Amino acid sequence: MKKHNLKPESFYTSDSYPSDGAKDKMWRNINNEIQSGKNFGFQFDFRNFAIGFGAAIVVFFFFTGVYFSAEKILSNDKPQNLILSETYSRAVDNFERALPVVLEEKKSETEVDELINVRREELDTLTSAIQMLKTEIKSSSSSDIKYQRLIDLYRMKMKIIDSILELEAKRK
Amino acid sequence: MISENSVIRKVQRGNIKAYKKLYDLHFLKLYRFLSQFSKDHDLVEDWVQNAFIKAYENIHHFGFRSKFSTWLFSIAMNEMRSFYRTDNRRSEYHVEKDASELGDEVIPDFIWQHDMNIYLSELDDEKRAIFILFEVEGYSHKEIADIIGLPENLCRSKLHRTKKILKQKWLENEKA
Repeated sequence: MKKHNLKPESFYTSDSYPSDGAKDKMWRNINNEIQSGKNFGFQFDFRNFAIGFGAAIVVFFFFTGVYFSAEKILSNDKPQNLILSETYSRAVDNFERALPVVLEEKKSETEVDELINVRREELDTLTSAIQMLKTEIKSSSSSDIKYQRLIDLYRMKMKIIDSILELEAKRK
Repeated sequence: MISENSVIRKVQRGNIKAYKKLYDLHFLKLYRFLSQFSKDHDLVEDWVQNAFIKAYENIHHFGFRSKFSTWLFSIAMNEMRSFYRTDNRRSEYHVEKDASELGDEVIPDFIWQHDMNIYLSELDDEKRAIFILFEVEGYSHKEIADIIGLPENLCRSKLHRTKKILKQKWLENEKA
């Protein structure tokens, strides 16, 4: 543990401290300013609004995708695993289609968050993995484990897309 | 005893009396720190006031990821720096020499000497702030990086360099 050298009382001179009454005077000024400021708790922030709006669109696309796909499940003869993987595939596609709507709002910003780049790389890796698994399922024999794995990959992909959205919202 | 976080939550709900508690708790530390960057008490009062006003205005953005004091000090530093940036005004003590010529060797144990205050006041605002925040106020390197808005490693190296300069100047003066 680093030892700090100096005690404040030995470092600061008397000149570093406020004069008598300064503390109360300053609080009065601060208090007046705070009281006169209206709606500090709610300030309309266009950037946050745009992100929130975009996120709402993403959620809408996602649930619409899931709803229509689920409907098909009920009236489909395909194996359950295949139907589920198709459902996730469609939902993720819808999710991704809506993503640029949110990110578009940030286009003018030059600073790119490092974490977002990392997430994007993860997203690419995951997309390749999904593609490989899908090809494997098509070309060789499919199995429950493979379908389960595919569904897990889709779930992970959605989480990453979700985390990109969250990062975008938090980005200063 | 009520924790500072619960006081902050009250402030976030608009409780000004709770904010007075935060003010009482942090006012003096902030004032004496900022007074190291100007001899003009009116100016220091302005910085302190503005920092507290801005902190209140943005209190709903405070996410409890750092200490309140770290967050407040970072707002205050921005106030002070934006003042000196306006109209190219500069801190009255901005006359630092190029420290790179001092080399990179490790400084043996640094011991503060009271005379070093003069040399410290000759350094630029950033170095001075980093030194005071670490050595006097006891903030960690990570917290200082948050306050100053520089990478942690850069803050560390600036502190190292500052100590080296102070020690060298003090030794030179002792020899003379």
